[in-house]
Amino acid sequence: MIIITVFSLLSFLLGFILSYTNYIFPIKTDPVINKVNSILPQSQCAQCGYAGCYPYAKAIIEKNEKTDKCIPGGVEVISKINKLLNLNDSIEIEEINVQNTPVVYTTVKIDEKNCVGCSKCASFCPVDAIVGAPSFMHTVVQEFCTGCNICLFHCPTNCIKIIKEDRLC
Amino acid sequence: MKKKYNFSGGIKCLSIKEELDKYIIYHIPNPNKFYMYIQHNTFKNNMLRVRINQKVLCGEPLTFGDKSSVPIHSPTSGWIKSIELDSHSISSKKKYIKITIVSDYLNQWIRLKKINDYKLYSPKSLIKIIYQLGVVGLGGAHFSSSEKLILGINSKVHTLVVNAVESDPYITADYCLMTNCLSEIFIGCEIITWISKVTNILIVIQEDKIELISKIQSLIKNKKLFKVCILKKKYPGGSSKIIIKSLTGKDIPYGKHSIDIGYLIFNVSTIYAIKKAIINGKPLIQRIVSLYNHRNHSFKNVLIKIGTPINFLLNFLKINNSSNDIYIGGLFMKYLLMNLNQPILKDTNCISITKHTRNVKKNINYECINCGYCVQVCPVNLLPQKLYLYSKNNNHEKTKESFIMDCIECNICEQICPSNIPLVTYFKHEKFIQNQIDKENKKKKEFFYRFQLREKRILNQKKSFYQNKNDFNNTDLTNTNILNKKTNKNFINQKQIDKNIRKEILRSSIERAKLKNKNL
Ligand code: SF4
Ligand code: SF4
Ligand code: SF4
Ligand code: SF4
Repeated sequence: MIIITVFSLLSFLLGFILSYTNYIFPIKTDPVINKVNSILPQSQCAQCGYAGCYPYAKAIIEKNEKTDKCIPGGVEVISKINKLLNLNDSIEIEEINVQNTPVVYTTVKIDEKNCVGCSKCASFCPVDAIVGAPSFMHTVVQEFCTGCNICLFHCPTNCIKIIKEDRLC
Repeated sequence: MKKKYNFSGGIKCLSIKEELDKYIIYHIPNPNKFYMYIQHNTFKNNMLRVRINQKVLCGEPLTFGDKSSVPIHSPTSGWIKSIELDSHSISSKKKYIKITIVSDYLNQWIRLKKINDYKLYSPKSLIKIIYQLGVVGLGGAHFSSSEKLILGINSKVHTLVVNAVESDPYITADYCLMTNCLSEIFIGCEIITWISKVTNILIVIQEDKIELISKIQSLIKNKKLFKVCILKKKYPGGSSKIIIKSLTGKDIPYGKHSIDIGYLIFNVSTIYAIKKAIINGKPLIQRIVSLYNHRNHSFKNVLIKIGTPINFLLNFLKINNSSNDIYIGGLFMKYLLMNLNQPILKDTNCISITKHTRNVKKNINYECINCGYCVQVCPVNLLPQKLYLYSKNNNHEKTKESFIMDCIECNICEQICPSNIPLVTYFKHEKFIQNQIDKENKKKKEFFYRFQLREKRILNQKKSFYQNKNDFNNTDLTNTNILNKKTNKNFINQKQIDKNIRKEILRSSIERAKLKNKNL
């Protein structure tokens, strides 16, 4: 009898402490959003129509956005998200981007002779992979470049080129 | 009887009948062409130190080393005939730089820098010499010895383990070296002791080398540092993980080295190469390779220069290669050699020759019958049967959870499996995928982190921008200090001038009054 009461008291106490801590330090980020975010390729290319992968993940959870918007991720990412969220729309997947190969990480390179130093690419790069000061030559830090190709469209002299580099092998 | 160290799993293998031949090191003459394979680094474009048609001397470095690869030396004097990109038959995925050297049969050496008393040098400079002379682990891992020593210095090792265990029953190269050059190996051990300040030296050897053990024991009688550990004759014994496990009972998890728990492991032939490098100043250009012929069960241990084509070796020993299959490796871990022009590499320790068998009846793979044999033999306590199921069904998370990365690819489970399942092939593929997943996850984390950093930066910029703007609107420009001072000064001047004017007016009025009085 004593044992039962002691343990019931103990469990009650612990439960109280747990709920109290949860009340004091509430979980700010939604774990599901983080999970979806970890599936997305993180190249922050904004081809999904959102500012980056995290906003897109947030939109999927909070605004019922479709899961098939990520173009670089391809079918693999879509099916992974669907599996995670228990969605079952395999027909849609086949319709959309079947040709899409899974993520191949590429990087870009600036042809440094032609760089005029307009600094446009650097201001648009979502991961700050381009270093350089205005009116000086710019260059890409290969390690950080996600290959999102945003900078490509903003370069006035067209001096940025994609290097195919399958860094996963 | 002394205690014999042991590990769980593994299979017992009979030692091969001792023959006198085993102790003799055969010497092989120089072939006319050497092929050197060099791992190239895409980020460094001037790795090579030589040009085509350049004359080289024996022992001349062909490359500049970098962090991941040590310099490679010419095994002969002669000319560089060609430099090209080629792939290797063992790892055909990667491209290597292949240098062809034509020998001039003179064997002229470069001048060697001999060191008689290595204690005059600091450990750092000795490590540098070891690096410059291209010593790598000769047991098969191909890990740079200098790197290992540096790691050992940094993390305070206390024991040097001399690995004289030959895992494969057919390989006797290390044994042969031990019987012939024992004193030189001891000098090598002392050099390593001087460099890394270890307090114990354990010589690990398998129980069937009775003569050698007694020889070593008589030699180390008055040396306090040394100790002999006898290991049970079992396969696999030679892997560093297994040795540590049988000596200490500790498991080394994936991604860690024995150095992390204070053990520095060197293969016997690596120690020999270190001695040669320090005392004789000789770069690593030759090694001992065991040759095992299954047909007449004959052994040979040949001292051979790295870069010698295997074809030349076989021709010299009059082994017909049309009716034989040539493998690199011993009984358990072996690769069928497709291109016989492949040279001996720094990590080639055995060549085995079997009768050519046409695959008339293919080995049929049956389903796994859950017999559990594979679980019993695995030396690192994995569950191959479970791993096989998971990897077959592409269950990458589960395979990772079942520690597939700890598998040392020793091939025992595959050999013993009654259903002929190529387990290790599955595991290798699975490991490759695991590596890819790991890399991708790392990349993703990094990208996300940088994205967050940028967001923060932009937010900060915006904040400070707006703050500055507000400052501009609210603060009174005239209130700033400099302006204040200026206005004050002006003010004072004005006052003074005002005062002066009044004074002047007063003065003039007084004068006028005086003049009036005079006139009156
Ligand atoms: S399209 Fe995909 S990779 Fe590009 S930002 Fe959107 S979620 Fe990220
Ligand atoms: S450098 Fe260009 S392609 Fe690379 S991450 Fe930045 S914007 Fe994208
Ligand atoms: S190959 Fe791997 S799983 Fe199989 S016995 Fe050896 S260590 Fe164990
Ligand atoms: S030895 Fe082969 S058949 Fe037996 S449990 Fe292992 S994998 Fe299955």
